[in-house]
Amino acid sequence: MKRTSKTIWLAVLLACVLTLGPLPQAARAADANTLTIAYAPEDEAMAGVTFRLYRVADVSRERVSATPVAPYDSYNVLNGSADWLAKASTLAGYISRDGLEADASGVTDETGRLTVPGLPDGMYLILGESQTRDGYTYIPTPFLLFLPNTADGHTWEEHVSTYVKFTRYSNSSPDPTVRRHVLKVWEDDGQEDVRPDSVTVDLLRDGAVYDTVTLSAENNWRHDWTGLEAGVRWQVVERETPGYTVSVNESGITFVVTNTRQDETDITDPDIPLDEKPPEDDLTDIDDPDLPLANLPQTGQLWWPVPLLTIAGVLLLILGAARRRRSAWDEE
Amino acid sequence: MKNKKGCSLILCGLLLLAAALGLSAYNLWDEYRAAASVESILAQLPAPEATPLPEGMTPDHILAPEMEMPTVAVQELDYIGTLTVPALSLDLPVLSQWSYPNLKVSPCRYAGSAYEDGFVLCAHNYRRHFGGLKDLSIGDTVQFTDVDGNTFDYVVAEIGQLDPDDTREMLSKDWALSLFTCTLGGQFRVTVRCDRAEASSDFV
Repeated sequence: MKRTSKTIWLAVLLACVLTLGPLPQAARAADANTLTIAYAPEDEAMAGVTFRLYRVADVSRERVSATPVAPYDSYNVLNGSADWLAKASTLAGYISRDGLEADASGVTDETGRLTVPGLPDGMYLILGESQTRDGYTYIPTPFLLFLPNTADGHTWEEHVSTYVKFTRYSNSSPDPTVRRHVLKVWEDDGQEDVRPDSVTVDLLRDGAVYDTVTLSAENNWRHDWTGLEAGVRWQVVERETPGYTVSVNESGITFVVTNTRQDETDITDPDIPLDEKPPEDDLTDIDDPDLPLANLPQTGQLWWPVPLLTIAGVLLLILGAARRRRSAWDEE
Repeated sequence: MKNKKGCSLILCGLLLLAAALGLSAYNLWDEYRAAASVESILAQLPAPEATPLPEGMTPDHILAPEMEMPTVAVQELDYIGTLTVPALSLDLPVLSQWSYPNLKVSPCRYAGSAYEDGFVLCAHNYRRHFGGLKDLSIGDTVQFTDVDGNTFDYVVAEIGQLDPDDTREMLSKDWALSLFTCTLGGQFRVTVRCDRAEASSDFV
């Protein structure tokens, strides 16, 4: 099972480079894929868990690539450079907030398995519902999957099996409240002058907007929520920030919201060849020896003229006194 | 005639001596002002709360070292923390951004972040700022504390001089921390390079 999953994730990684124009007709194998999900937190199958599948991108078998589809293309998530788990988690927040309909769904059986047949080619986001067992709440980790799947970019597997990771928290904590923290990070090579002055983030309580805060330099781009109800799902989404992709990484009680500056070139531009890196001339590299940099600041007090002025002053005094004395002798 | 010329030379000499005296007096006053400025800011910088991290929370700078360094405003200027150099008995506030007016107030961040390598601080060569950098020795300790109370310990690894146009070398990420100031003549930059020491602690 683990081997299959690794294969699947490798394929998802291969799909990292998003692109490009219409999908070739030959690749549109109609509804040929079957996905089997296995959910067994701590090696114990969990039955009755609902999983929802959202087809978020078209895929191309020829180019092992994906193109986001509406309405998911409006979130500026899939074309970013974040890892795929972060993209999945970020998209999950937007889907919860906006109440988007799933393309398919189902419930796990007694073996913790769910099989969904008849899925068209595509990249799917898979979201599962929380479930409580033995005093713990288990939350399936959102993930993205490429259907059909490939390990080598040539051989395609239409029948795909995967297992679902999870996070859990205890329901027996004496504190009935929880705390959540959000931190904004900019990945823009220090282009502070083009950043917005602030961004708006929503805290979602079981998918519904619970609170809205503005993050800016004034609050050091971060915020704490305290006294939140325990036992419910808290998520954070950022409202659209034009010119930046967004990803939300959840770690413990902290949500790191990263905005990455989008290149001026459009990644969906059909003229951009896949996998081709931008010309090196376009990159600003501090190590480039030809890149002119400003001199280091002058951080000294103006002491150097003092000895010069003193020496010159003393010399003039001596010279002047000597002249006066000679003049006095001449007069005598 | 010679008597008149002699008087003029004496007058010029006196003027030059007066200029030297005036410049020295200004510099000494500026030193005093800079020292007072630092003391005043340190007194106003709020001490970070040394509270343990809440359960399940990792310090922000460990989760996201590329984050902006948090700041605290004092007298309408943003500070990122304090620098302590025990060998020079220095405790200095550090401004978030450098500019010539800012350098008159306090040491400044020239580049980078304490959360990553390539953190560079600059200051005037006032004795109460970085004037004593050249007196440091290899192995001396340096500590930076950010406004959250996270401490970052460094050890002096190299002391040297750079030309004013050696900006690229100054920004090298081979060093965790670099400190620089002008030599007395202003021709070079006294540069202290530091490696990261092992122990650092985290608070929120």
